[in-house]
Amino acid sequence: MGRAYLGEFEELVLLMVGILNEEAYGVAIQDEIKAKADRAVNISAVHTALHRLEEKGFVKSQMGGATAERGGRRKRLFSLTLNGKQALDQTREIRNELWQQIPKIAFS
Amino acid sequence: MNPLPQPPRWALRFLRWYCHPAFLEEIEGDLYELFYRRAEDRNTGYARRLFVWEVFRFFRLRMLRKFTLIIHFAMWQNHFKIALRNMQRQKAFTAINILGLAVAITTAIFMLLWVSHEWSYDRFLTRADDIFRVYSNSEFGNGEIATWGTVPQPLEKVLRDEHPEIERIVLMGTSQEANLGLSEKVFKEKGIYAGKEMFEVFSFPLLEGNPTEALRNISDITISEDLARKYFGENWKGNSLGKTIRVNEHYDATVTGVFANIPDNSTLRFDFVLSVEDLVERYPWQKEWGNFNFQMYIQLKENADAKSAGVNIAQAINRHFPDAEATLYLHPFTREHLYSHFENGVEAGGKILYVRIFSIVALFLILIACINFMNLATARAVRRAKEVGVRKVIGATRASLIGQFMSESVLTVFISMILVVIGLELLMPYFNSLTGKHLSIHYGDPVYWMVFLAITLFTGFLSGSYPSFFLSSFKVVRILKGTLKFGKEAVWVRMGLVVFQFSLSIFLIIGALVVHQQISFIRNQNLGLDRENMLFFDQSGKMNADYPALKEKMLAVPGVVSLSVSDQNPLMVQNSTGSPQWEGKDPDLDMYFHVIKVNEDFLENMHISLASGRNFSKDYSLDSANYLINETSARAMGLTDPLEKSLEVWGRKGKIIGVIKDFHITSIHTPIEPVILTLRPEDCGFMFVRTAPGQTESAIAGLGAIYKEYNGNLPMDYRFMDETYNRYYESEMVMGKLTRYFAGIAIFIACLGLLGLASFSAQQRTREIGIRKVLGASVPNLVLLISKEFMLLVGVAFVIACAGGAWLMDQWLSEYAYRIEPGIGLFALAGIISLAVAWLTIMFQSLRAATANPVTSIRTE
Repeated sequence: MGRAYLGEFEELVLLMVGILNEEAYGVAIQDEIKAKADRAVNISAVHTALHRLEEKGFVKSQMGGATAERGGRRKRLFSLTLNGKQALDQTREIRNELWQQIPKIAFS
Repeated sequence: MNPLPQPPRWALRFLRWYCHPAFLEEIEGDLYELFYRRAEDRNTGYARRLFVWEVFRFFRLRMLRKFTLIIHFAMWQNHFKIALRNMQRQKAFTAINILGLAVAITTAIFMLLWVSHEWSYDRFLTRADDIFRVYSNSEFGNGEIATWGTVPQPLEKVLRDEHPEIERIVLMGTSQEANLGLSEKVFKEKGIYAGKEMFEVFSFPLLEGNPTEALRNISDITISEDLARKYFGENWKGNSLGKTIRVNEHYDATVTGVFANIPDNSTLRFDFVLSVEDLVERYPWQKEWGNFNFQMYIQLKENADAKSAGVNIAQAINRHFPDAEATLYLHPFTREHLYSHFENGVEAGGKILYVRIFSIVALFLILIACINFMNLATARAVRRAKEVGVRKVIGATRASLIGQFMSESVLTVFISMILVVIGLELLMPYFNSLTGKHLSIHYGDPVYWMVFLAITLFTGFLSGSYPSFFLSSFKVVRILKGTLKFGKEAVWVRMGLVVFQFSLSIFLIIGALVVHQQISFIRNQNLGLDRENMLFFDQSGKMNADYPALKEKMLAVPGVVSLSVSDQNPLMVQNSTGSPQWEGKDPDLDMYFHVIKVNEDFLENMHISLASGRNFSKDYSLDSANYLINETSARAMGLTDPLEKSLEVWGRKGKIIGVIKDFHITSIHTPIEPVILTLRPEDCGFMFVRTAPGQTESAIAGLGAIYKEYNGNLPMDYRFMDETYNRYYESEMVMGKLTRYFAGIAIFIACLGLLGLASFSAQQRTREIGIRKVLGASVPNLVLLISKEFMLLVGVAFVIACAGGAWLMDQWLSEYAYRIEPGIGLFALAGIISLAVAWLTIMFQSLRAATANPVTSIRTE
């Protein structure tokens, strides 16, 4: 089976879902991206990426509890699937391999 | 406790409308969470704005709910069919609607093209927003602040050394002509002198050469693609860099770049660029702080704050040369084209005025045409009442009826769009020659189609708005019982709309008349010197040295009356200096004078008269240090008896020997300013020749031959003084022509509507007129009966238009230092024109109704 392609931004979101574990939902992921990667992203972009990841089977979701700060609306909480974990591992492996192939030349 | 802030309800409703229910809760939750957080961190307004923004950002295919799009195809087909039948049944009204809309929309699209072209000026440059032109403000003795587009040359170094926020600077000499020669090919070309970083600041693409290498040396030149082709032939590519071109038979310049021809929408226009260093070195006195001779453009560093840069730079001249008392002002280059007037040191509009006026007028024209549609539709409502009733009984909702009538109006606009496209194609060349632009519609570009579609829908909905609500509001029971009475309101609205149409049209007529009168006033204004039959050309050094003999030769040419030399066109004086010192000058007084270098023949040739004293004369050897001043100077210097008072200009000390009558030194927009004449024939680069009326041709032929003798067979490139003067008023002339067209179009469309209403009213009253006639009413009586109501409306419109017109035109005229006062006659003329046109329109219809045979009209039932 060919692996589904993992885009750059999708990878970032997927990593954040992994980091936040159980507590991953739209705004939290947005905040995390801002804090860890110093990137300001639109909330709608995060949602779109999460949907795509779910379609590809990299994350799964369930509805969480309602809170007052959300005007009484529930969160959809995302977590990594096994597939998702593997996709991250694989991407990382490929990266590492490629890294080692860069000749050690002093860059000016 | 304050109630919790709430996001905008409409945005929330919109979200709920489009969003897939499966995702709605989480999205709403996230948006709420962000909203509350932002409301707390910043403020509610900010949070609400971002909320709306994000609702729109979520509008993605992925998030959309399933829309069940029910197209009642049969129903729409029926609407369409009914609309077409209605149009066919009432051919005259349909024609009026379509024609009016087509004319209005065509005009509006032309205006849209023009306006968008005006807006596009200079915005094609990369980092255009970082470019600023440096203006200097200086205060006159009377407290008025004058804004100059020029600065002294040493400023460049100061800005470079002391202002790190500036990335690049281009010093520029004012646009000039130069003779460029390549062996035998010598032509006069238009270009500029500019600093090294010219092509780095202004991203005019270099087809050959490199922006960071071009213009680096004093003898470098860059030329346009056109010039490269002209001088180096079709194979100019790869064949022109490094070649030398002889400039003004003076030195060889190396071609270091070929730039693409400057686009139409560029404020800077030139065919070549020479190094500004050359200009500076040739006239070293320009290196002094006191001489404001150069334009300057700066490019701020990316992300630099323009406001604080402006504050920092403001005093740059004064820090180094306190005498100047000139503060600098950074004007965004993208505003250079549309906002180029300055009043009291502050930007005060410019061409933007015309852009605004024409945009509004174009909108008005569409509005007038839409009103025609509305009026005809509501006036004929009675005929559609039964249809509305039956539809409602069968179960049509009000919304679907509105949809039906809207689709009728959109269809009408759509048909007129076909005429619009044809009209645009046919009239485009005339429009371009009128406005002096090269505009066209690119039918391949989807943007144009989108705009067309937008205009169709906008106009369709606008004209359908009132009729559809009006027609769909009828009560079924009343219609079917036949007791439907149209309230007075509908009639009032209709009359109000007619008044509105005609107010606008008459207002435009008044505008056209005022503009026309002001322009002819300007053109016939006594300028204090005689600009008719005066031609001028550059004179070379050889000619200057041989002036006495040359003068004799030229005066011998048939048709030549007199001649003189000066260093600039006295109707286009550009330089100014603060250096003059005179007896009794208040040391704190800061005043700027325009200095014109002339010879002894200047006054006589220009027909400038002396108020007192004497002219320069060869009999007085000391006159080279003496001065003539104009009356404004005398007043400004505070001298009641200026004769024989000492005056020092540019370090040359002499006396005032005469006072000349004032003459205009620039456009009539600006009042006359202080002028000093100094006798320096050796510095005079222009020769002015007055010809006898009607003999200009022969004079030019004779002068040209003499010119060639002195200039190695170069043809004489002459201009006429009145032409250069008229050029000041080009935009007014275009404006004058356009308002005339607009006024004509507006009254035409309004009269179309009137024609429709009058014929409808005549139809309605067929039987009434018949009975009146049987009872003995005369034809004039009946004509009056039908037309008086409409004439009254036009009369009311006239009064409104006069009030509005008088006020607005006064605003426009206040731009001019010398202006007309629009009198009663002008308004009366506008009134006569509009009433006559309206009356003729109605007359045709009312005469037909009044002369009809009463037997046929009464027998109709």
